[in-house]
Amino acid sequence: MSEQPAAAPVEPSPTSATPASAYLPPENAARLDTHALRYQTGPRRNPTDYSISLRTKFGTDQQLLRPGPRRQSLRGFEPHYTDIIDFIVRATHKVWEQKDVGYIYELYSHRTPVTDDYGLNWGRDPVIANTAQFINAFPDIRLIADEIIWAGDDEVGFYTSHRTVLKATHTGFSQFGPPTGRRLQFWLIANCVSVANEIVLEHVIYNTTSMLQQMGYDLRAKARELGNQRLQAGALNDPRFGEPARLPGQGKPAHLPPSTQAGFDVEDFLRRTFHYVWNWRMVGRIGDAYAPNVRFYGVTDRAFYGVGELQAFVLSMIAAFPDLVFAVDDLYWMGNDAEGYTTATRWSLVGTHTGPGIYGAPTGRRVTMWGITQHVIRNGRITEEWMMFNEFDVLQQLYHEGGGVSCRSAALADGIHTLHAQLSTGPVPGRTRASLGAPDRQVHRPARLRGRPPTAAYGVDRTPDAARDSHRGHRRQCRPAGRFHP
Amino acid sequence: MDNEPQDPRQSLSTTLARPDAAGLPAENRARLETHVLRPHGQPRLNPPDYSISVRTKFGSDQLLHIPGQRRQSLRGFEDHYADIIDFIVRATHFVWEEKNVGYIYEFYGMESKVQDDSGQQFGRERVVAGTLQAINAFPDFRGYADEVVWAGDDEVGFTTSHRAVLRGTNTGYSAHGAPTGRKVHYWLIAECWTIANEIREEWVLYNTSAQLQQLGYDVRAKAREFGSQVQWDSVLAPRLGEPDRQLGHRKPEYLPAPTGGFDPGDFLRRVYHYIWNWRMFGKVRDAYAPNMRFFGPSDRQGYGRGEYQAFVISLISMFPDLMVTIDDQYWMGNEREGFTTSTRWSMVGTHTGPGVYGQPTGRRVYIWGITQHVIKDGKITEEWMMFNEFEVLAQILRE
Repeated sequence: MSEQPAAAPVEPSPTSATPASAYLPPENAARLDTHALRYQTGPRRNPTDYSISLRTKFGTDQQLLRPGPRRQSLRGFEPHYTDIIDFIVRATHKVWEQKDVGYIYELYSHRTPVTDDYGLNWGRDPVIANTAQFINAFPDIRLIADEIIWAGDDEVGFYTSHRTVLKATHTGFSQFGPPTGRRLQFWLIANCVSVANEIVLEHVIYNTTSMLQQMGYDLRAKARELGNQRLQAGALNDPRFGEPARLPGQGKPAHLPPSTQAGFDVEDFLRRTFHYVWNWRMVGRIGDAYAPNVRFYGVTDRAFYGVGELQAFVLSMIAAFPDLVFAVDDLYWMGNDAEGYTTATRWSLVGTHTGPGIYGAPTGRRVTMWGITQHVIRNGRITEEWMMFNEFDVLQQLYHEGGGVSCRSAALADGIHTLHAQLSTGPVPGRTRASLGAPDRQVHRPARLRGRPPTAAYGVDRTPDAARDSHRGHRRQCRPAGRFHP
Repeated sequence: MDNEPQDPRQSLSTTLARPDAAGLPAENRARLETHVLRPHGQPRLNPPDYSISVRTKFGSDQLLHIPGQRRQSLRGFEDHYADIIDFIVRATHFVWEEKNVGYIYEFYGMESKVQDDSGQQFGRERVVAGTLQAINAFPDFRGYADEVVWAGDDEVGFTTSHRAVLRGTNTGYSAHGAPTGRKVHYWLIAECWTIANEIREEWVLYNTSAQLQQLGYDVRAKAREFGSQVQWDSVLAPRLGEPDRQLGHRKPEYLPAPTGGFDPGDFLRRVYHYIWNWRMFGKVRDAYAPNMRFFGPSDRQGYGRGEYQAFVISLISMFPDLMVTIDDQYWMGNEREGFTTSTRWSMVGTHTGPGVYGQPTGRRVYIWGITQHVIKDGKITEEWMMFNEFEVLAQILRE
């Protein structure tokens, strides 16, 4: 199936669609030999250890300057990439920090569907335009990769869940207004599917609410303003239909059969937890599934500590949207029992705004949320949860002034890969946490982050050092202490 | 079919209907050897995997510049086409994005039959004119192939269901009026039957209602205007008789029990028959995944079975005697990789119920559409349903 770039063109003719044999740099040659790949069609494997992970990338020299030799099959990728983590980190660095925005032409497919806080968008050109606008607003932008969970291979595609901390100063014009001069720091998640050096599917949540809040804007006013722009008077797609399909009429939610896998089944564990906590409203189960000292990081600078606060957060959502239904759209993970698991779950939630809460008096509007949650699981308990969802989109759905009209975004796109039966992880490999030199010290969580009621989320004044405490290294610090896990 | 040396006097004769073979470019030679093709009467095969699909077309380099060597029998096609997907994608790019509108002369049959929002049209010239108008209205047009489901071969013809995403800015005059300066971004489906480098039949749904909405027009007013252009005299009287869903006051038929393994064709026939014709909306639960995504015309989006069920119910409540039939159906894939299907269907119903189309008019309405399904593990996870909604509105609102 391998063909040389020079072989294809025939004589040019004004009447035919003969392909133009444009000059291609040599590193693009590898990208032409991809007809044998089967994007999204095969079983997707989850890495059973952390040998290819952010944890093995120490230091700027190695990470950005000397990535080393290739250590993973990457058919179709440019030759200098060593593994999928290297690809994500260095390509992001090149585009966003070195400001080679045009590298997006090499990094995204021409038709990539991108779902973000503004709905579903197709195409590479909007990605380039948005990136240029973003870097214009934040010229000193830094994107620090905090965690990258990956699965798959070069055949079915690499699935990456990239949690990033963004730091920048707002010194240029943005889509929200003139420069405010404010210093920003917030985290975000981008889930990408990459094949042959190109991102072919992306779900990204920019944490726009955190950004606007830190820029000093009134979130609700901005949501109203942008939500109104999305309205289409008299549109045929106005009515919102049906009920969120959680219950069969007056029946009760379904029970899940027990896992058939011996030992800890991380996929079953998460699906079960989501189903019983969210769809069954068994909020008490949070106590079973989460470690007592769980850290929760949410959209709009939310930060909670411990089971009680997390329960309160879930309850506040169910109170505002009493008929909500939750579904897992995609789920993959890395790790093993000994080293623990890090997981990436993409989910969707539909509900009707008929209850009180931080979103104000009930509007009766149907709302669609979608999000990406990363979990750190140790000894069968969740010790960290990083939950990002399209909150700015949700605010627009609730605060626009279109009456009963929905301005629900198009944020429902999905690839063809949603419901794969995933292969379970294999035997436990030899690598241990200790060999990674993780600091073995007890966590001290700053008191100012503790005990904040969930309803105060919009008012949280998260100082930079508080945020720093909660970011880097937390994954390591949160190893379960013995007294909680006898 | 080689051109023999001729007597020059003969070529000047006006009485001979001698075909003019002058000036054919070399790549057209292949298109002359097609008398042996037998498009009718042969079974059409569904590809059992995705080895020829948009999923194997990564990147602009490969897709548009270096498509590679031929990997499928394409008798009668120009030499440089690698496979049927390559044909559809690059010919579309060449005509619409590179603006070589005249290439339509090479890739549509002169007698092409095209069914679109304004009914059935004949002839290639109309395709040329329509394309010109669209590119004039949206000079920065981009069309991304989001999915191309195909079946058949170069003998019976290739049938392709091309789901495309259209982006563009309305900076030129369009059929609907003066430039609005607005950006549009919507999806559409074109189903084509192609043989020997030529599209012979096409069913295309442009999602006109989404376009009008995004351009800021009042869709209903535009539909009334469009529908009223035709003089509806007694000769053109709308369809007669009742939709033939059941016999008298009998109940709808049962389908015989399925046999053998999972057959996507049988599965979808059951889905349409029981959910739509039988009104067994609860079967949505059996056939669709809980987090199914629904994409419909006019930028409709649905999430989950509840919203999808309600959409189906809303249509049938407006057209209580609605009947659906399947006109064409094919698919790609296998049980392991999942199936991607394309179904062209028709519905007939009488507008006697309330809904988004306004107060019941009692008018008979003809709806036709193309739906692509993604089926994983025996459940539908995505449904992309496009139908002639603008024309439906025109049928209902015309004066």
